[in-house]
Amino acid sequence: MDAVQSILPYILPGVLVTLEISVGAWVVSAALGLVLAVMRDTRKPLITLPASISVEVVRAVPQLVVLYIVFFGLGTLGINLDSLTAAIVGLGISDAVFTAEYYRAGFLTVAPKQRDAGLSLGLKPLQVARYVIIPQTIPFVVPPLLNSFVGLMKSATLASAVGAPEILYGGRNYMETTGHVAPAAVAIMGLYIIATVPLTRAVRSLEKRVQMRTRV
Amino acid sequence: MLSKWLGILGGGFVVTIQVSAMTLVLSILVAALLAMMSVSPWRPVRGLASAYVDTFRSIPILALAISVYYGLGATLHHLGIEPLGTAVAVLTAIESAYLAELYRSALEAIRRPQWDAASSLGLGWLATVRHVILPQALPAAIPITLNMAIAIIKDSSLVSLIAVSEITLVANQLIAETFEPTRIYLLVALLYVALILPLSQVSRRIEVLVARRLGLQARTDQEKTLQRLSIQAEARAG
Repeated sequence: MDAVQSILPYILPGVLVTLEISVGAWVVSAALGLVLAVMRDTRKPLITLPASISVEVVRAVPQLVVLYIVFFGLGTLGINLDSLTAAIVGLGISDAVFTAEYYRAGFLTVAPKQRDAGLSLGLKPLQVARYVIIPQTIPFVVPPLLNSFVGLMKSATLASAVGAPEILYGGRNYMETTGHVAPAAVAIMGLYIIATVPLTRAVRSLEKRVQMRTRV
Repeated sequence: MLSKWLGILGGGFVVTIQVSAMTLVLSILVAALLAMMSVSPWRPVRGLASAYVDTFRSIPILALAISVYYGLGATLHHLGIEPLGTAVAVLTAIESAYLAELYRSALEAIRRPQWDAASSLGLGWLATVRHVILPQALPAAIPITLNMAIAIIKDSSLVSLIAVSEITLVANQLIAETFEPTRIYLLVALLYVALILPLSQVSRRIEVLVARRLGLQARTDQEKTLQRLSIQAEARAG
């Protein structure tokens, strides 16, 4: 009981920061991913090529390295982000290249005829994306986006590497000040299991429902 | 200067590849075992496998790595186990859970009637797995495993935080001397891209080949992309 009481002040504030990072990075990822996907969908080489190249390249770079580039690299260029913002931006960019692919897969489920129909009605390509394509892809895109949120909650631990006070950062502080590792380890991993197992299950059943509905 | 940096980073990259290769081999073994357990006819065995997979897929790699390193680092050091061994063990514990889940879905893609047909021929569970299920599941496992290899290489950068001198840690040390984070980290990124981009191209080719062999040939570009994406999305660890 003592261990629980002594550990709470280290872990609890971190829970909030972890949530801030994962929600923030998720918003960055969902927005940037959509931009990249729409760019790749334009069929204009000048627009598709930069989007495709950045997706391929960023996808090959570890999240931690992207985070370091954002935090330390941009700093030398005079753009100083605090650790929390750097984590949100870095993890968000890293995740966006995957999100972009989910959107793209979603776009592919809409028949090309519909785009042509939209264009022939006089809509601009961006309007076709906004009013014709995107609304139809929402059911396909929601489950992978939720999965990516679960992934980002776990990736938020990387923010401790640049000093953002999330759960693992607090836990490590506890380990270092008290010399007791087990209580902090159990608390951190236990919290992650409690938070992610039900979420993952829920997403899986949502996925099944989307599949059944679209198969009919 | 650049060639000197590349030499130093290259040394770290060799360690990255070592850690990843060891993790991959061990993960394949553990995941194959777990996947077999998850299609076993005995409920407790299935339960054990799914408990392992659910647990280790929920734990962030870095949280496990730091806990093991801080908690057991000194003990392990006395036993002669270096951070590299700890790193491989931690990465394997988690990556094998992701890989097991992917292998399981490859096994489950083989329809129930085949199991029933095999058992009506008098084949036992093990014989069914060996002669009926595995030959069909193995081709699908190849691209899955390759995608996992890519995920493992990327995740191995995390063990820089538990004192394994792979490329990310070597880069940090180099930056401490040179104060050139932008260029050095970009160089690191470039090395990762140089290793992973060809791997992902190969894995894409193999996916198409396997799909063709299994008669799942994608007829349109749309189907091809969807097929590839579903495999990639599943293989995303961390």
